[in-house]
Amino acid sequence: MMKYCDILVTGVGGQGIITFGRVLSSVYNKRGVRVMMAETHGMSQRGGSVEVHIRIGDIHSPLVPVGGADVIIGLELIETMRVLRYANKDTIVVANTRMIRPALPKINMPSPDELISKAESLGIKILTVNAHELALKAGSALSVNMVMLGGLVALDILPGKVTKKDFLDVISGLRMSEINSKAFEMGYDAVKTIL
Amino acid sequence: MPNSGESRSIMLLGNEAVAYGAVEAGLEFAAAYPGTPSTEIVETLFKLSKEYGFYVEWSTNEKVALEAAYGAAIGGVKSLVAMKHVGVNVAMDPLSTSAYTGVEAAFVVVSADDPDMWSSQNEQDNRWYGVRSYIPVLEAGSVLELKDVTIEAFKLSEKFKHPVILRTTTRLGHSRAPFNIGELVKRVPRGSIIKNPAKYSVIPAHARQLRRKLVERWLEIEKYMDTAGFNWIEGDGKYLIVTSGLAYGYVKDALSIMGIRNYKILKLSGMVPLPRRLVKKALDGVEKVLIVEELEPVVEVFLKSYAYDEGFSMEIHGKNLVPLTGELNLNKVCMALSKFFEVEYPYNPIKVNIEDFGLPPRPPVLCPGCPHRGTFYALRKAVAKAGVKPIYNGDIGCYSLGVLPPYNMQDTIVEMGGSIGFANGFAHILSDKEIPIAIIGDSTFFHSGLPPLVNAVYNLAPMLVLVMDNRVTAMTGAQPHPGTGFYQDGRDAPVIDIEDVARGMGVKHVIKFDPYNINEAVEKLTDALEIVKEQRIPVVAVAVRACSLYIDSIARRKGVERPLYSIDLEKCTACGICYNAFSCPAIVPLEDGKASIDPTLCVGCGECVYVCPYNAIHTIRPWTKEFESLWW
Ligand SMILES: Cc1ncc(C[n+]2csc(CCOP(=O)(O)OP(=O)(O)O)c2C)c(N)n1
Ligand code: SF4
Ligand code: SF4
Repeated sequence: MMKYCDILVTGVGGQGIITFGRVLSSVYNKRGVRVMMAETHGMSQRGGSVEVHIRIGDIHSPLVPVGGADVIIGLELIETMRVLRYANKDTIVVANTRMIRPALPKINMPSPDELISKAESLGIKILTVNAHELALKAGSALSVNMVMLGGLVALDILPGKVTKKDFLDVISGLRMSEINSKAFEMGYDAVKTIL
Repeated sequence: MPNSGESRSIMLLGNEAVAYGAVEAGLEFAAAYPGTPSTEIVETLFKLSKEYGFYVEWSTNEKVALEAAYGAAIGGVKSLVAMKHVGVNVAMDPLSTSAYTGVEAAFVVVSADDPDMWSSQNEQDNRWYGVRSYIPVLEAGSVLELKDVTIEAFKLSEKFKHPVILRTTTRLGHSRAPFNIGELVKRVPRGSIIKNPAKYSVIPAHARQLRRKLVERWLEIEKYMDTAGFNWIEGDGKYLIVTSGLAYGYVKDALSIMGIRNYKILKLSGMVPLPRRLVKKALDGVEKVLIVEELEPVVEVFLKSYAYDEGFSMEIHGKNLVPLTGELNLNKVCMALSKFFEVEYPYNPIKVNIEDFGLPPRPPVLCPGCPHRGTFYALRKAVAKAGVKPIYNGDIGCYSLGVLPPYNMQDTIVEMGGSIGFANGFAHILSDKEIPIAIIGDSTFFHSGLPPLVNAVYNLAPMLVLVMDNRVTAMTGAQPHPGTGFYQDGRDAPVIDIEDVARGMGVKHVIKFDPYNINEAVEKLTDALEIVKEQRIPVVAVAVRACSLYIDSIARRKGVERPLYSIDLEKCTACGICYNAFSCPAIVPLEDGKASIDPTLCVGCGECVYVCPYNAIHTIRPWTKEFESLWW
């Protein structure tokens, strides 16, 4: 069986999920490791659910299979719950505890704690991070994506011995690179302490 | 951006890779109408055209784009036209005869199909168009092959002087993968006048000749497909798997995951026409066949018929094991292979009953500050004031989202231009108080709204035609169109004014309003509806205000500070009108039901000010001259 890693990133349009995927794939491409990334962004409006699939290794297709994710990274809690079918008993889920209210009239919002315990009761391994708060501390609510990327790297399960520095090098080429690097570090530390 | 000759691999979106492939193949002329998932191909070509000299345009619709590229190819210039799958329906008339005439230089038609309907009204499989029009179809075996297969499409077209369909899909075009860019050469198009009516003027006498030659050429193309580098047989064994296009990538991954070893693959990136000799070679000595293809059984139908002709009698599986609907994925392919090879299915997902989680849905919604929201809100009030009963004949664009609550104002949406088109039917079958309201975007108006509007004027069809002019083609990412006033690269363009067009077509009453001024919008729309009701004629109303997402992106780029609005909690009575009936995503309810504006989402449009009956919404950072200058 070939060695590869299947990562699913989910959240709400406008949260920088595609940037998350581009940084991750750029790190691997620089090392000459094959990486593919599938984007679901059919419509340009903000605010809909977005999924990005990233597969690393000797692969030929970009979609993570249902039941086949090694890691699920959720930038928003409702969206994280929506994609749990991709998990198996070994999958690690890293979830931002923050919820974003869909802009529809008269909706009921679930409680975050209830959602998390429901997921846990199904046997899903879920690590939670208050990424919104960390991003604000780093300097911008827009850097939630980098907090979560730091969290992914902290898991130490990415293939090919990539290091924190590989990621920081790519992040340094982004806009707001200082805030983003800080957010990345904070997410990294936060997940390290709860591992 | 990579330089000529550089060979380091870079990550590209599939659609970008198609553009690079086309330029590598010597592209000289490109035309397109935007449509997901094809748009980025031509957006990338616009960027590359500055350096590499070829001509690119956004055309008014797919038929026009196809004819432009077809014409250029008849004139001896290597051409490409790109569109989404349903765009090919619009362009089908000239495309259907293009194989009869052929061309003088490469003519590649990119059909970007959308299995699973991520952003479309249907999931038609455009390989059939190749079959019924005698046009070869190529499709990459995975994203990784996309650039090479694009180059192959140009080669094939150039060799036979025949149109070629390059089929991509949402998955191919919207995935990123590593690519090596080859040498790109500057080419300024220079064609020539063609005088060959026997070939290019398809009167019946010529057409009959051309049709005979076409059938001969088709056999030659089939032979080419037998030995072309993009089709091959790999592996060995009694079990054969035939893959069409991107199914190859899934099959390779699935076989590897499931540890299956003894198999043979017939990999087809050119499946129309099906290469008869290669198929025969692949079938020789095989006991059992599985055809893996997305959507329709195009390869299956032809392969089974060839197998019969050649006297083969093995089991042939296809759509009995691989679903007919939706896009392929590893789960579907692994399931089919597990049945075919009688091995275990490799995935064991945690059983999640998602209903138990009580998750609210999250469809895409109109952006904060979207001018369409003000128009819908005003239209609803005007309909009530004028005392008419409407059918909302909707159309395709961001305003299609008006189908959702709280607006519920799109009773029909089928295809581009269908709004005025359907209203032409309803206009003659309803009672006097019942009025069709055709709601159409500005880009859609130019695309396919003109002929049905002429029809409405000519046939005296009472209707309100509401053109939602947000200055750009917003849904596909804010491309310019004939009413916008500039080209994709920012140069000034002539403006074709929608009001003038309507008047020129003989519409007697044409009104215009700014949807950000909701009170005025209600008044003008009420007047318009009354004219339709009383005079029984078509009236055109144009709502003019640019797409707020587009303006917001310019404001960010130029560092212009946006205005900001806020809610006075003393005055707010928690009525919920602003977040329920109006529903701007920037307005969120607090615990006590009062409203609050999220300053990170508010774009400062000020529409909501008119909506609040208690004057609780006010500006805390007013409009500046600089911000105002971004709009037009
Ligand atoms: C035949 C066809 N071509 C292209 C598309 C893709 N498409 C969907 S909506 C749209 C146009 C939207 O522009 P406009 O009418 O101005 O409305 P807006 O999105 O700006 O509100 C396009 C090009 C399509 N659905 N059908
Ligand atoms: S992209 Fe523009 S037109 Fe479309 S919903 Fe957003 S603001 Fe409205
Ligand atoms: S001003 Fe009002 S309607 Fe406009 S974006 Fe802000 S909250 Fe929404």
